[in-house]
Amino acid sequence: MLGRLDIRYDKCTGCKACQMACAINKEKQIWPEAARIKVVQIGLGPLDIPVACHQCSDHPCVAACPEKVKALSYDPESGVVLINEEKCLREQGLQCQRCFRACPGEAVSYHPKRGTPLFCDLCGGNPVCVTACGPQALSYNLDPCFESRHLNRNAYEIARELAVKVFGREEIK
Amino acid sequence: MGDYMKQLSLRILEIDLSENIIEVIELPHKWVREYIGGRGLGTRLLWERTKQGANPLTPEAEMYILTGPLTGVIPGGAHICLTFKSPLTGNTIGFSVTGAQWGPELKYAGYDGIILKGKSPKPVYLMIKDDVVELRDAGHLWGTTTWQTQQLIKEELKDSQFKVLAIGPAGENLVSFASIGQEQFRAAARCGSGTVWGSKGLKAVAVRGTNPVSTFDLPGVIKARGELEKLMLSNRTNHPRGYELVRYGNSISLTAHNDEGRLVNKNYREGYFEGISEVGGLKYDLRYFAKSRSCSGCPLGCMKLGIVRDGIFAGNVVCPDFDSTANIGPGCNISDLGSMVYLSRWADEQGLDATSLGNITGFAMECYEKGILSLEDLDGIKLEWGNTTAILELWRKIVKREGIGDILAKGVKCASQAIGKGSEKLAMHCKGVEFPGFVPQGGHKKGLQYAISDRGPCHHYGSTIDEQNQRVWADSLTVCSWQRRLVDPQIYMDLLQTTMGWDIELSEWDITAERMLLLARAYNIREGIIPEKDDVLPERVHTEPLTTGKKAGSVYPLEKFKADRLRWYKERGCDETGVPKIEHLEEFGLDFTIPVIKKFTQ
Repeated sequence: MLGRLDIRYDKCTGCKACQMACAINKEKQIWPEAARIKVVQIGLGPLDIPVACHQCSDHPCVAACPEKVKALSYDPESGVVLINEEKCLREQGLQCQRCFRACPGEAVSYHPKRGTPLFCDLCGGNPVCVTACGPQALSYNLDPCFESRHLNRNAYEIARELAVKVFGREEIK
Repeated sequence: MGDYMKQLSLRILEIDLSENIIEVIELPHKWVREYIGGRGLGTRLLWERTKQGANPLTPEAEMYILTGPLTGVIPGGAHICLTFKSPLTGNTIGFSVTGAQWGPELKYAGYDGIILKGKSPKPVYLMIKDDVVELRDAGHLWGTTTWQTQQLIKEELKDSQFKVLAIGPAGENLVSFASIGQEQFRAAARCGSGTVWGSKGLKAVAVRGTNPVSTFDLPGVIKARGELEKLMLSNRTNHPRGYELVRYGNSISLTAHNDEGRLVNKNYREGYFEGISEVGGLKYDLRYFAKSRSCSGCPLGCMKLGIVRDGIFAGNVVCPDFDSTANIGPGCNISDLGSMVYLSRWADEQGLDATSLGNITGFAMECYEKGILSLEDLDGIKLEWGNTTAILELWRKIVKREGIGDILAKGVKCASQAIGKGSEKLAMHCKGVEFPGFVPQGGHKKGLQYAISDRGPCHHYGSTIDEQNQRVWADSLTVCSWQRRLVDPQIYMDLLQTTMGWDIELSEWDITAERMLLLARAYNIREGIIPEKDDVLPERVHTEPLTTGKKAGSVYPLEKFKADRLRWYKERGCDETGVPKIEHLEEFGLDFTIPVIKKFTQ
């Protein structure tokens, strides 16, 4: 089993080095938009929220992928979700969004050119986004008990809670 | 210089706001190769494309918003440089640099820069999403702050990840020192960039890019940028300056400069602020700091986001930086941390250059203290040193251009001329641009660069040849000038070879920089600057000694200033009156400027 991505949101500075590293590793291009991890800016500050796959143990995205299609599969050995792009309905030009809708963290994004969903495979156990993260907001947690499901939520929800944590109050202007 | 045909060409959006014509143009390879990008290339365009003597606020005036070859490619290569004719001076180049994420986003949309010209008949904003570029109505945005505009545009375009540069009410109302803001706290502030947008009826430029960056040798670029990234990551802890930026950001240096006796206080009368222990050093870090933020790709995170936790401004999110807080805080004798950082945010929201604004406020306060401006002149505002409420009242008038605010909105030079009564001697500016946070009496090197800088006083210009060359390179590449000091410049040459396909060596570093700086000097001469007469400092700097702090008793004696200036003129290939020598211009490939210089010297 591989580990899981752990995120300290308060430490993220919004530099998107993780996005760049991911795109370079996976696409061999200077192409942050094609990264598996995305950093979004929300609200006052703004606050920067990295949005990434947290490898849910029940992987709802896989369950949501249409029965006849089965483009997504769960690899029990590594614990990551794999995609077979050729099978994906989006590859045929259809606008299926079932995996995106099933993801509790809305962490599924689409390739800007191919249109197919992007899935994180933790770079086989050495995630390049973690190596590139200067402020150490991202880390790779190998503890088998670490279930990062609680991080896998809507970015706006996370940002609201983060604002209270870093600013120390609910009312900010 | 290699084979131009094989090299990458730039894609520039040319926007005619009068006619609503949008075109993609390519720039001559020779210019790009010789002037690199950003500030250098902007200077070349300004020389070539604008008519001599043009008014900076008329439709024929142009603005060049340029990225550089490394923008969006390298960590910390996040900057853009806006080049234009300065509305604050009326006769010099103006340029302003801003970081954050906007520049890389433009690159990912597939463009290297934007040329703005003309004047829109109604308020508009420019929307760029990859291949879709259009001018959209901004009637509903007119009058909103830079923060509101950014938010409203993101909502309107239904994509929160648009990067938005916007002017506030100050730019709309043509306040001479209006800024252009992005990401709430980031701004291209100096020289009146926002005023130019206001005059063109342009409220904002929103960009969203989803493409890969085209480079000449992609594997080479990936390797070279990877090395820079490793180095920058190590600089977080291993380089003293890098470590300090990571840990404290740059506004902590208020105390250090105060200790050296060169921090602005009371309109440059003093270089030492007795209230520093309330606003300087770790005070912000301990009381208000919340989290750090970065520009695109940079592992340092020198922007220190925080919140005012006490006093009348409690609950306001803030992100102070050295220059704005220096002029507003110690400059206006404000010893309340919450007030200082909130006022700096207020300037960002309204789209004002906090540096110039702080300077002008200090000027008005001294005028009030000396009886030059009466309570009546100030429309009843008791403008005493450190009075935050009065300052905010005054600033609202400046933005709305009401009463005294209308006079001060023209900049400290024009305001002092309008006020008269000896106030001219209290106006701390060169060429019409307000001094930033250092007092020349306490730091002669700062004074020299205030005087010789082509865009008017700024401590970004650099006081030595080497410093100036480094800064002009940083602004042209375009990379952060902090980063520039943390790494060996050879790394930029490797990156240029791979991104652009240029056959470029480090031996060109000084030559290219000098070419850019000489061209800016020639441009200023073309537009009416007389170097000997205009590269000067206000009288106070030479005659009124500081009375407190480490540099008590100091002035910058006129003779010493003149000697320093002469040395610099000589080092830069100028004659003793500051005019570039003809043979020097020829040597640097600036033949096209020679007729102008010859005409001037005759």
